[in-house]
Amino acid sequence: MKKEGDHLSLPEKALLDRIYRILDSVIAFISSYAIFFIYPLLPIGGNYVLPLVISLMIGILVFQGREGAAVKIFYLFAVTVIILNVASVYSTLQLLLPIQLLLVLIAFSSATLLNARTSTVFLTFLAASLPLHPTLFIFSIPVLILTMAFERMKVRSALSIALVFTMICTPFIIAMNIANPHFVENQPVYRVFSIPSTSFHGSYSYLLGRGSRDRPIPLITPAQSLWELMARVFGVSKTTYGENQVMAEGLDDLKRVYCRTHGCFIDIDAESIFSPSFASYWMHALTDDSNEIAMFMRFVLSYILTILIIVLLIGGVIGVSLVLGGFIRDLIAVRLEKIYPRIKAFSSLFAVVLFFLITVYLVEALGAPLSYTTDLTFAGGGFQYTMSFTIVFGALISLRDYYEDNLREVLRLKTEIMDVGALFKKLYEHFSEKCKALRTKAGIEPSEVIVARKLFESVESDVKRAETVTTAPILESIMASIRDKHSNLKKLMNRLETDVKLRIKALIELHSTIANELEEVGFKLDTALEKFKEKHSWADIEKLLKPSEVKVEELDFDGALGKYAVVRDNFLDFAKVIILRYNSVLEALGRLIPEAHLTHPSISIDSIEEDPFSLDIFIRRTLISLSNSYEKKYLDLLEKLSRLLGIELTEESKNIFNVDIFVEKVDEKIADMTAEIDEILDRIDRLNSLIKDILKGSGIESVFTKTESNAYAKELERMRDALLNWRSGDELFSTLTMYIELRRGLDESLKKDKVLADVASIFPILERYVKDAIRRYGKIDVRDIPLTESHLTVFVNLFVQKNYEYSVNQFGVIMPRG
Amino acid sequence: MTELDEELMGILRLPERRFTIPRRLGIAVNLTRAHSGNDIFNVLEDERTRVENGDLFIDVEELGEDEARKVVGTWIACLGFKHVKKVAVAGVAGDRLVRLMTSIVKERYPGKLNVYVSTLPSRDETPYRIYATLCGSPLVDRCGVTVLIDHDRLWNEMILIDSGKRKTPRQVIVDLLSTVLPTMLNEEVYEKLKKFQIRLFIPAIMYSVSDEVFDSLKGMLRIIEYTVLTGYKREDVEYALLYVYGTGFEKNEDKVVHEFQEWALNFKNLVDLDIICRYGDKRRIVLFLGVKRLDPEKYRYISEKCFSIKNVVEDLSPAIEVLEFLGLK
Repeated sequence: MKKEGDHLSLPEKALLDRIYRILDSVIAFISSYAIFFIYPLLPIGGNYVLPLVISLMIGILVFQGREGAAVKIFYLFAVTVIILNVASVYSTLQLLLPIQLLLVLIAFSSATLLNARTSTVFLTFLAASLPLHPTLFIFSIPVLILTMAFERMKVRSALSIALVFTMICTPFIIAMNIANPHFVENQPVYRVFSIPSTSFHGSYSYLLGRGSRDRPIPLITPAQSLWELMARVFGVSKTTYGENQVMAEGLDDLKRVYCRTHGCFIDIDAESIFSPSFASYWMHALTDDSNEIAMFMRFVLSYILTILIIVLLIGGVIGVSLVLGGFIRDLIAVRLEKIYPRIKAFSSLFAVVLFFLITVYLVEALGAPLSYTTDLTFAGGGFQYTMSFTIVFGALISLRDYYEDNLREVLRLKTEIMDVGALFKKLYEHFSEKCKALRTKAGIEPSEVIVARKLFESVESDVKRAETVTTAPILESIMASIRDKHSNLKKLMNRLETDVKLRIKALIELHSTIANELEEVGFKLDTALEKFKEKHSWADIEKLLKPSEVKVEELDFDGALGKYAVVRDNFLDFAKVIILRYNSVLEALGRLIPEAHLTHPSISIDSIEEDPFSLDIFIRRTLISLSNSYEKKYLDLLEKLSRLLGIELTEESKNIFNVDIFVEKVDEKIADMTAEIDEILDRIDRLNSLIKDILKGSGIESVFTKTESNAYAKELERMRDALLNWRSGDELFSTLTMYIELRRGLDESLKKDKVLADVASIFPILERYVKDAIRRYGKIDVRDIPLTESHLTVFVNLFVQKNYEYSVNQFGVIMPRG
Repeated sequence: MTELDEELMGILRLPERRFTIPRRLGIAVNLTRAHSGNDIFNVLEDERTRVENGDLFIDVEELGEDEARKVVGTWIACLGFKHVKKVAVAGVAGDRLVRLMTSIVKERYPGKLNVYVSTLPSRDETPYRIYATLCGSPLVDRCGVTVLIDHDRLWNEMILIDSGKRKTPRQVIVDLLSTVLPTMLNEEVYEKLKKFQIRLFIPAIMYSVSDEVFDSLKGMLRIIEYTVLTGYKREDVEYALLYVYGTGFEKNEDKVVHEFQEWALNFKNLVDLDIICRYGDKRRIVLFLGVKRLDPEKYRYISEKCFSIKNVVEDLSPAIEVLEFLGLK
């Protein structure tokens, strides 16, 4: 039988195994010793020492777990002693001997084939041997009953017991009955079964002569022990006459009774009836010969067969009783468990007592129909002993059952705990997989993970604790605790699924709400969407602005998870677009109003990935707040800068969230402006170097002729740098105001410088012209110089500067000094 | 033939012609025409022989006379002119390349060298160089128009500023020639000049001029005339050619012509004048005054230096012939 917890290596299992091995070895030792004591082993070594040695060996082998070897040895010796004893008994009944031996061997082989458990084998052989001992025979039936209780036998074991019992008893009972008439006078007090007068074989009782209800023919061993029987059979006793004479006398008695009853005379030796020379007679007798000898022979044969049938019937009764007993015991156990579980362990005691009573009743009740008498009755002397014996051993078995049940319960609980633990672990792994999927696919870090982890650790420690605990109630509480945790984990799993579905709904709602809010405040995403589309060409812009509805109720966990990932990715893309746009707006606004960076910082996409709902807070607290905080100042700057830079004001640009467009325009204007400044600077530079060059070539020192535009160069450079690196709208406004002022002056100076350059380029020719004229006419009126007024003034100045020997008077005449 | 040669020949699909030329030089020709339809191409002296935008750059020093002649001949052939009516050659007098070029043109287009624009030898030149320059000049009688420009004046006296940059004398010469040559090759003008037999042209160019600077065209002309005529007399001027390229005055063309004629009346010997007004933003005015003869006093150094080597050279007669043509003998 496969015991519970066989697959476990628990201390309880080891203890159970140890108990079983000890009990088995004790049973093996006691049984084999008793059997070898009952069956004399004189021919091979005595009745005390040799059985002791062999039984010890068998016991040790069983204890070592080598039960197969022990049983084989036991079988070997058991067969030997039984055959030896049978042979001894039937040594002179030469025809009956081989039949008996054959019967023994067939039964023996059948018994071994039934393959009962080790202790069953030993106890069965013991029970079958006990009836052959005059003192111990009364324990035969209780031992059988206790064997049943002890081993919790099945049908096969019960049949095995019945077969072995019959097999061992039959030859000796037949022998004893044949010899019975000779021992009538010395009938011993020990009787198992006796055949008085029978109804269905009444003629035998009659023939046997003394059979009556008062004086039943004893069906018992002819001696107080088998050994004594054998001693007598072998002529050792004073009451016997030589070898096999007892049975011969018995047969002679039978012959005399038969001849007297039938009024015939049979002149044969009773002993020789079973000799081989009578084989032909037996053949005739069994076929069709009707002479007196043949008639007698058939009588003897029917006598033996009758005894055999009776023994077989009794054996059958025992077998049926054992089978029934097994069922009864199970019924009692089940019933007791229902009524009061604690006394379930005593079901064995109740069963054996009940079964013993039933068996005794059956044996007693069968005496009438089968026409035998026995001492195994309620009124018999041995009843008290056997009852006490049954109760004591039944109680012991019950105690063992109790202890074993406890152990089994502990084992069962532990196994169950481990199974439940494994189940929990599997569930936890599933849970972890789901959490992992949530984490990787949806970016959700469920809080249930920590709880589940605690539950898992708790269950692991429970399972570990259960391994050391040996008390069933504690194990049951652990079991209940694990089951609770298992159901809690299941709830957590369900919560995960619900959570994902709720998140999908919430995200879609949030997405739509934010999109509406942004539209209301005029935060347009067109440009950001275009940029986003450039990088993510596969993105669906329509869905990005308006998420599609999802029927979450129809989704399972994986479906919900997949959908959540899609919805979340869409939301994150939406958030990216918002952040992209906001960054653009903030950057632009930050350039106009630097403090906007500090008061309304942007948010990173990472934080939204961690918690998508933080976008809502960002929109409300930062994005929309930006408009409230800075709109007034922005509009002020917008108006001032637009005016200065000549930017057309539109309704669109008045929205603070279009600040980047405005700043872009400002930058364009400033780029134009700085390019213009660069060009002006270049022109100034070129003009200066040209003028310097020309004047130098004309012999005028450039120190006298600083250009006016040169004075503006540094200021222009500074202004260009200021325009290129403008940091705030106010600063830009003041720079632009200054630049406009500067330009006015610069334009004037450039005009003057251009005049200077023009004059310088023609100065040498004109100088020569003027000098030549003065040389010819002594003077020249400046009006004779064909230059425009502005150029003329410059020329005259340059001329007199260079040519110190000439001067110009108040009438505009150039002439030599002095 | 070098790899470059083969490549060029392949590109241009020229008939294979082999020249023995120095190792370091290559020959490159190009069919592209320079100066946007003016059919004017430059042959310029350079370290390497190459063609850029139709201009031939040639290393005269390294190449031998014959090699250079072949190169230039090939280049002219590659230009692909057909039905050539007139040829003008311009260059610095005495320049070996100009002499070579003139010689080639004469050979290739006999009787077609109609205009020869060159400079007078510089006062600082050695006698032999002056002699060589005179000998190398095309025979003036076979040339329709000979324009000689005073080299020293161009170099020493003109301060020329255009678009804020000072122009080099070379650039000024290019501007002058590119301005005047198409006009001189014009049939009408050419015949006029041929008839006058004008030997010397006194050019003047003013850049960046405008009505913002000068109060009138007349005044401006007075100044530029003054520039041109330094060292000359008005009486000698027979022909005047004025280019007005975007001064602002040309807005009123009639007035320009009127004032120009008014100004021209001051020239007593003036036979004819041409005014070419072109609208644009070049802000430039160019004045050419043509005189029949050179000032013998001013250019006496030419004949003196030439005759100083009469014992050195074998035959002085080609130079004397030119001197006579110039009225310096």
